Amino acid sequence: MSAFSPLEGQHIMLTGATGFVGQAILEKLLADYPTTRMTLLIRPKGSLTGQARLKSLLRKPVFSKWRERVGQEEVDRAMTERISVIESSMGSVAGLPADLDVLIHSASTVSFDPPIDEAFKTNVGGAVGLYEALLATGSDPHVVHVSTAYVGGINKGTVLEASLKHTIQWRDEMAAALAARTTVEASSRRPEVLRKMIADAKLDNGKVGPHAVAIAAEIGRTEWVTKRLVDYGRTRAQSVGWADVYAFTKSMSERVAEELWAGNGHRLSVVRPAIIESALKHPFPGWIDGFKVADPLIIAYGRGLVPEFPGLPDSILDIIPVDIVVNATLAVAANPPAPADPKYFHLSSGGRNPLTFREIYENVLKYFRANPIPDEQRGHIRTPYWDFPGARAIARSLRTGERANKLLQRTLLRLPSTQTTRSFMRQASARQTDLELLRAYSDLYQNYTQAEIIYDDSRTAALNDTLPPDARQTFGFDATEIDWDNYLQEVHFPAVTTLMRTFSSRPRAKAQVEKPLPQNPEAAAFFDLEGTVLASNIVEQYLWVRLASLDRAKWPQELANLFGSLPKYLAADRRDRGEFIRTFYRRYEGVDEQALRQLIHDTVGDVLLQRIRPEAVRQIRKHREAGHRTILVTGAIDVLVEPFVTLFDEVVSSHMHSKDGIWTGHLSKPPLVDEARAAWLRLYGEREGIDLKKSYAYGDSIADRAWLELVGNPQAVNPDAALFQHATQKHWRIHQWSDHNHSRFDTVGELLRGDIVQSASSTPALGPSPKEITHE
Amino acid sequence: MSRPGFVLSVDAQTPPLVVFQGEKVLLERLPVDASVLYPPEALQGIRSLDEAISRALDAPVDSEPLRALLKRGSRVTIVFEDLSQPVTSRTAPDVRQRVIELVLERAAAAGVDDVELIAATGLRRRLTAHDLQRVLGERVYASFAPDHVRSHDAEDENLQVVGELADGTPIEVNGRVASSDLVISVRLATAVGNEGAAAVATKLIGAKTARARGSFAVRTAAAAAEISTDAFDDLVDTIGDKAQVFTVDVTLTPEPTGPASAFLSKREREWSLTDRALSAGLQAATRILPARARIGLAQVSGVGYGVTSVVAGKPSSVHPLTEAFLAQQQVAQFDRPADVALFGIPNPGTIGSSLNPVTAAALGLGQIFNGATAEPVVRAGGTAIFYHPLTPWFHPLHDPAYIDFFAEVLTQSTDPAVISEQFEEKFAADPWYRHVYQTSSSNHALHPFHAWYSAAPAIAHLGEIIFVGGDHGSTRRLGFKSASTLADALEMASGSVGLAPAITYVHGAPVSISEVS
Repeated sequence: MSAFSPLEGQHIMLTGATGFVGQAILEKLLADYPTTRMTLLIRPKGSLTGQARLKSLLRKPVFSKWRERVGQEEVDRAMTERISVIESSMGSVAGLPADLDVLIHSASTVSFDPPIDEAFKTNVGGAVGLYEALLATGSDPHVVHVSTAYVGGINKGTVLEASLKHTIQWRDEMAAALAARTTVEASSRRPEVLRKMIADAKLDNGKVGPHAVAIAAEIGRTEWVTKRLVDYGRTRAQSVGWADVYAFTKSMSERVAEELWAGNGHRLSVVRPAIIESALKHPFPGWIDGFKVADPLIIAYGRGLVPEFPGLPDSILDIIPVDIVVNATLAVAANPPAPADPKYFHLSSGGRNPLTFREIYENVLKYFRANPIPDEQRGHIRTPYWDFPGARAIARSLRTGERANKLLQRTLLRLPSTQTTRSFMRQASARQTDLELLRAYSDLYQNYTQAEIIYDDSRTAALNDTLPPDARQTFGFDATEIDWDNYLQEVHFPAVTTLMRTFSSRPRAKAQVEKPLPQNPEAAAFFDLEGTVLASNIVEQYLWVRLASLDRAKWPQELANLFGSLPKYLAADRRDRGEFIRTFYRRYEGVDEQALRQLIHDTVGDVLLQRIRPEAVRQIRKHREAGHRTILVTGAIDVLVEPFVTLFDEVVSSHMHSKDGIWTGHLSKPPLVDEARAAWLRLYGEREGIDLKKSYAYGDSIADRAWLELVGNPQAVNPDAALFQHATQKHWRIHQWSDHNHSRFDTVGELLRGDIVQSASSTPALGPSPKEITHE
Repeated sequence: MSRPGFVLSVDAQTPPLVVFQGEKVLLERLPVDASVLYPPEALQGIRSLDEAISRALDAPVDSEPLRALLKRGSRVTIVFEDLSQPVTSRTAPDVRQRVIELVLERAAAAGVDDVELIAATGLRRRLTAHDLQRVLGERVYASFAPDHVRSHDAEDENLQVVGELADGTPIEVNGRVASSDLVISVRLATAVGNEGAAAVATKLIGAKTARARGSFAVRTAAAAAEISTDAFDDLVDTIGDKAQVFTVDVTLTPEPTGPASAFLSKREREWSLTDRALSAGLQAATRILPARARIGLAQVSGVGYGVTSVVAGKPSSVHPLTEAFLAQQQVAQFDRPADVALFGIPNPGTIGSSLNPVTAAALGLGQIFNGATAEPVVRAGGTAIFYHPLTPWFHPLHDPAYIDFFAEVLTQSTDPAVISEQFEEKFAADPWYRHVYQTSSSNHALHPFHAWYSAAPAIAHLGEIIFVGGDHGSTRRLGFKSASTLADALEMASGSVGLAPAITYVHGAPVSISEVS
C-alpha cells in the first residue's frame, strides 16, 4: 500500500449502492480507503429493511476478495463501524447527516425503456429529492453526480466534457411526463379503445368465458397504457435529440444537479461513464453483476440467435471496465472543483483507445468459435458470420419474419389440434421468442452500435496523470491501458459466458419419471369427460345412440341431417360452449328416457366404453390410490354418462328436462361448462373441504381453462391448439393420451353386423322413435 | 383313415412353405436340412352330425341315456364352452347349437321346463348377445334370452361352495349349476391337453377360487411335483351335493373354411396351379394392404374346424376316451428335439380381430408343451422362433386389464413370480375391472396374469425366444427379441445354438388355442 491516501477520514454518502457501479464503489472504499466512513441511502424492498439489504449485499461476489483478505470479523466490524444506512426512497429523502464530505449519487433506473413517468420519477425526481434534502442540511459536501456519456444525445463527432447545451426545461418535461400517465389512463378508457381490447380479449378468451374476457381486456388495457407511456418516453426523447428516455432523463437530472446544487454555490462534479462492463483487474478480473448492456447481445450471438445485426462496422462501441469507472469516480470525488463551477468527466474509451463494432464482432466470433456453447440437440452451436447489410435491410427481414410467424400461429390456432400441429406450434412459439429477442436487441442497441460519436476524455486523462506513479496500480483509471483483444477474450467473454452457463446449466428437464401422486385425503381430481377421459364428443355419442336405435334404412337420412347441421353447431361452439350444448341437445327432443336407458345399458354403453382412454382409467386409479376424491364433471347428459359412473367417486352431469318420461330437448339446469364449471368447482371445494391448491384437474379444451386454473395442478390432456398454447406458457403438465386403435369404422361395422345390438325381440328399441327434427 | 403326419427334410427342391404371421401369410424358404413337421391330414369330418349326436345322447358311455336322466320338474342347466374354442365354420351352424337343440328336444319331450343355458367362460369375457346367437343359433337364443341364457360370472354374489382346494380355499362354483339336478356339459376339444381338466366345474368357478387355483406358486408347485390329482377330481361327475354331470364331448379337426384358403392346409409340394395362383394373390394382398385391412383378409382365409367325434356320458369315463382319440392326431415321431423350433402364429379368424401381444405370446409359447407333439419339439435351452407381429393392439372392450398389464406391469417386470407378488392383488381388487367384466364384455382382471403364468414353463424351458416381424417395442417389453427375417433370427440364435443348428418347423396353425384359466 502506498502512502497515497485520498479521501482520508472523510464521510462519504453513496446512493444506488446496490447497483452495479454502486457496489463496486462501496467495495473499493471498504478495501482500499480504510479510514473513510460511508452512509448508504438504501430503499427498503418488500419486507427487507435497508440494513438487511446491506447485509445480503455484503455477501455478494464483489466483496469476496476483500473478505478473503481481511476475514469475516473485519467485514462485520466495517459493517457496524464504517457504514451507516439511511432507509429512504429517492422521492422522499429525510434526515441526511450534516457532516458529509462527499456525496456520490449513482442511483438511477436500470431500464432503457421505462414508461416516461417512471423514468422521470426515478432519474429526475430522485435527484430533486436528494439535492433538496441535502440543501436542507445546510452542509457543503462535494457532490459527484453519476450520469451517462449518452446524455450527449444523437450526434456525430466529438463531445466535450462540459455542461450540456440545450434549452429543454426539466420542470416542464417532468410535469408533462407525470401528466402523461393521467392522459393515457384517460384515453385508455375511451370506448373505442376498450372495444378493441374486448374484441382482442374475446378472440383468445371467448371460449373460456365472459369473466376471463373481462380480465384479459383489463390486462390488455394496462399493457396498452404501459406501451403508450414507453412510446411517449422514447418519442419525446428522440424529438429533442436523445436516443431514449434513459439518456433524456439522465441529462435532465444533470440540469437538476447544476441548478439545485451548483446553482446554490456548492461544489459539483459530473461523471459520465459510457457502457460499463466487467472489471479489468479489481476486485478480480471479469467481475460483473448480472448481464450489462452489451452482454445479452454477446450471449444471443453465441447461441446462434442473431443472424445479422443492424450495426455499423466502423462505429465505436464505447465500453469501459467497471473498475476504471470506480477509480475515476473516487478520484473525482477526492478532487473537488471550485464552488458553483461544476466539472465534467467522460469515463470512456472511444476517445483515446477506440473499439469498433467490427473488432467486437471479430472477437466474439473468435471467442465462440474457440469456445462454442454446447447444445444437447446440435452438439455445439455454430455462430453465424455477419455481413453488416445495413439497418434497413435487417429491419425489413425482421418485419417479414415477424409477420410470417404471426400468420403461421394464427393459422395453427384454427387447425384441429394434432401431434403435428402442436409440434409446429412449439416451433413457431420458439421462433417468436427468438424474433422478439432480436427485435428488442435491434431496437435497444441500434443507437449504440450506429453511434458515430466520440466522447472526449482529456480531463479524465489529466486527472489520472496527477496520480503518483506508485499509486496508479491501485487507483489508476487510464483507458489507454486496456488491451481490447485480451480484455474481451480473457476477461469479459469468459465472465459473461460463465454467468450464462450458470443460468442455463440447470439440469434439463429429463423425460419425466412418473412419480407416485402424493397422498392427501383433502385433494380431489376433477376430470372432464369428452376429449379427456373419452376420445369422443357429444355429437358422436348422439350419433351412436341414434344409429343403434334407428332402422338401418334410415341411417342415410339421419346422417345427412346431422352433417347438414354441423356448420351451425361448429359456429355455436366457436362462440360459446354452453350455447353449443343447448343447441345440440335439442336433437334429443322426444326421446323416451326409459327406452334410452335400456338401450345404453344393453348396447350403446359398450360403444361408449370403447372410446375410453386407458391412460385416463389408469390416472383415475392412481388418484384413488393416493386417497384423492375423483370427480367427473361434464356437460353430457347423465344417462349417457352411466357406463362410467363406477370409475369415479362422484359424477356431476347435465340432466334433460322431461315431461311424462319424454325429453323436451331442454336441459333442466344450465350446463356446467367453462366458467359455470369454475364457479361450481369453487363452491364445491368450499363445501366439501377440498384443498383446491393440492388438487388436480384434467381438461382438453380452452373452454376448460377457467376451471383448470382453479386447482394447483392443472393438466391438459390432448389439448386443442389454444389450450396447448396456454398450457405451454403456464408450464402446465401436458398429457398425450392415446386414442384407441378401435376405429370408428370398426364401430360402425359392428353396429351394421349387429355385434353389439341386442335382437329386437328381447329389447324394446328406442321407444317411439325420436321425432324427426328439422332445422333450417 | 386319414394320412398320418410326416416329417419333411428340406432340400434344394423344396418349395417355399406357408408360414402364418398374425394377419399375414408368408411363403418362407427354409434352410436346407431343416425338418418340417406336417400334422396328420384332417380326419374326415362327420357327415351326418345330427345322427352322430343323437347316437351319443341315446347310448352314452357309463350312463343312462339322456332321456332317462331328464325328469319332469327337475332343474337342468346346459353349460357350453365359449369362444376360446373355434367355431366349426363360418357358414354351417355351430356344433354347439346342434348338440343343444337335440338336448332341448329331449328335455321338452320329458317335460322339463326349468332349463338354463350358461356359457362356461371361466375368467373370460361375457359373451355378447351376438356371440350367443352365433353359438346357439337364433332359435335357441330367442327362446331363452334374455333371462335364461347368460355367461358364467366369476364375480357373482350367488356362488356356492362345493369343496376346498389343497390350500384350504373354498371352491365356489356357479350357483345355478350347483343347485341343478342335472348339468349337461357341451365341450369342444382339438388337441390333447386342450380340452382342459376333466371337470367342467373348473370353468364355472368364482374369481377367488380361480385365483388360488391359478396362482403362479400353485402352478410351479404342481409342475415340480408332477402331481395329477386335483381338488376338482371330486367334481367331475357331480358338482356339489346333487348336480349330476352329463357330458357331451366333441372333438374337432382343423378344416379349411373355404375354397379360397384350402391350399393353406395342403402340403406345398402338392399345390395345384390354382393353389399357386391363390397363394400369389394372397401374398400380394398382404403386402399392399394396410395392417387393419389385413385383419379382414385373415378372416376370409382363416382355418375352421370340422367335427371328428361326439362322445357323451359320464365325464370320468368319457374324458379318457376323448384324450385317446385326440392322441391319434398328434405327430408322434420325430427323431430328437431340435435346437431351433419355428412356429407360425395366425390371428384367429373370429371376432376380436387381432390378438393382443400378451395373448399372442402366450399362444405361441403354449405350442412348446401343449402343441401338435406329445413332447416339446425343441430341446431344453434351445431357441423358439415365432412368426407374429405382436402389434400392441388391444381390444378396448375385451382387454382393459391386458392394456394395463402391458403398460404398467410388464414395464416393471416380466418375471411371473414378481408379477404375482406385486400386481395380482391390485388387479384382482380393482372395482373398474370387475365392473366392466360384469357389465360389459371384458376379460377378468386375472386373465392376463394367468395367460402370462401359462407361458412361464415354456420361457423357462427355452434359451432364446425370437419373434420374426415382431414389433420392436412390444417384443422387448415381453422380454423377447425381435428379428426382421428368419435369417436374422437364426443369426441371433447362433450364439446359443451354433451356426448349424437342427431346425424344426411345425407346419400349420397352432392346434390349440391355449386355455388360460
